[in-house]
Amino acid sequence: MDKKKIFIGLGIFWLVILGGFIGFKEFTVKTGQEVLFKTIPVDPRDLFRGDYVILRYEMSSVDLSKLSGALMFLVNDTIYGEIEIGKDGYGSIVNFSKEVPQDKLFIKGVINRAGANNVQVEYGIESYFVPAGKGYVIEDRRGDGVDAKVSVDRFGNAVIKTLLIDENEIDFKSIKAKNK
Amino acid sequence: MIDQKQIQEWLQSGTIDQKQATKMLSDATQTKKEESSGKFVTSIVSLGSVLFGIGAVLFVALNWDGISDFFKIIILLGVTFGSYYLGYVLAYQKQNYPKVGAALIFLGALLFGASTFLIAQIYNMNSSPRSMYILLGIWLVGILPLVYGFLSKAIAALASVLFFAFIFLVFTVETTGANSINEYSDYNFLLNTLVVGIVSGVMLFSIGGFHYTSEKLKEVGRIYRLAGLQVSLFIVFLLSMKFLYDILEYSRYGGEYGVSETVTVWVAVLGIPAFLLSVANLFFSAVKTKTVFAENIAAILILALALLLFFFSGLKTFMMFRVLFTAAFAGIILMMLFIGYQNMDMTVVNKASFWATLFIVVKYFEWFWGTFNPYLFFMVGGIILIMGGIALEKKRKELKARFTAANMGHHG
Repeated sequence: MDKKKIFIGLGIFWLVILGGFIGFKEFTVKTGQEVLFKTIPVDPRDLFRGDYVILRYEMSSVDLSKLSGALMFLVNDTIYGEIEIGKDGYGSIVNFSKEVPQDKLFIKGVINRAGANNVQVEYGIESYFVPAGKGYVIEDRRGDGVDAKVSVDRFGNAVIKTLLIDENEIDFKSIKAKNK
Repeated sequence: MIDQKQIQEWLQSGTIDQKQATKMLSDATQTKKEESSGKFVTSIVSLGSVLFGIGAVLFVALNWDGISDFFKIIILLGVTFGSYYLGYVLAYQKQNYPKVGAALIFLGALLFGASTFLIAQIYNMNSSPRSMYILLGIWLVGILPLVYGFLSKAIAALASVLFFAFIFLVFTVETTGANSINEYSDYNFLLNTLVVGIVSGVMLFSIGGFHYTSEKLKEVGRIYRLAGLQVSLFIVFLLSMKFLYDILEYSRYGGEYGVSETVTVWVAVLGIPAFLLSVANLFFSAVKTKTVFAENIAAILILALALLLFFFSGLKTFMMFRVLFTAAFAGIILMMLFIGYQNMDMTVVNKASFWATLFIVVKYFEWFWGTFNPYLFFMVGGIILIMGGIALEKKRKELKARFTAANMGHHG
């Protein structure tokens, strides 16, 4: 095959893959509904991995005994959380199910640990990348008072747009980096 | 390449006269200098390309808050496609710097991976093993067409590394904590990793075999086969050692042996295709020689041993598996030496010699440590290694000279 055709073909293939990847995420960011989730404190030793923050939410741990119906989940199962936005503007999960909720805002998660009465869920919004040397503003708060502004699309996929401390968006540009 | 010794021999035999000999020697010397200079330049330019690529990626990563997401993506795609385009122009369009061009295309493949990971970071994709295998999968799928479009051995080697990393992560993520008897058992994790390593090694080895149907794809297939062989061989080597079984037993922490349903399903998901590919290679290989047949039989036997270990591991069977894997390893080394000799392939002979030496050293420690006095142990061991090394080097030189002479005889 003509090398020029191969070159052009492969270039288009790369554009399709990378463009598709970006498009998939942009779809969630642009078309999704913004939801504010409160993060809960995490073990300070686990807070940071390099230059990203580990985030946890109330919905990260699900008490199965509080769910209606005898639901059983195994690791790697998909779980759907129905979101309700409270008067305080924060999103919370009012119901969990194995089926896609109809005509409701919901977030999709994957079970990564399953016990008899409790499961741990990953929603794809547990990491937030911070500029080098500037994560101390989050570390100092030990995850308390830190909120995540998340975009959730109609398929339940979620992308973190930004983090807030005391309801104010963190502006890393104005924060001075600390040398390690 | 013609050298001074060859020219001298032709002159002495009267094949050429003095004038011709002088001209040939001058041309050969000039060509050698140009080739050497060319290699040096290629290395410098390749290194420069890699450094530029790393710099571009670091620029984006370290100025995260200073650049908008849109420009981050533009820079990443620009450097990736720029390297790829420049490589194509130099290697195929103008064809004036083919090696530099190939190095730039390889850099493009690396930058494709870096771009994928940085785009994931832009969207704060979870930094977890699950996300990692998705990103590795994207990288692997992205560069595979480059392997076949440009018949790049370097990118085939990169694809092989990504293949193993991808299989390992998929298996680990999909089976960790899932219904396993010892849910977070180090024993299960270690054993499963070793078995899956052999399964994926045999799979890649067999996939490489199918490439021999096409003359153009033969070199790519060889890369896959060597990669699959090296990984499988390394694990078989580990499984022939007593200390590994001691570690396995220690990591059990007194828990039960046995496998879970989920893990078994995944081993089957990987093992069955590996087995079918190996058997298909046996009967439908384009190269119908005894050595290829023997290689494929060896692959099937190792796969079978690995699966037996997976299903029947336990304190009572460890000794039996250690003996079986030791025999398997020794058998493979001897076969590699035989194949290397038959095919006059120094790469295979060197690799076999390396593994044989390592095997002898490890077994010497395993069998004789504690048997002799320490000073005698090390002295005897040292003498064996020195003498063995001299004999090995002598044999290697003989083989190399014989292979070179035989190749020149074919081309002459």
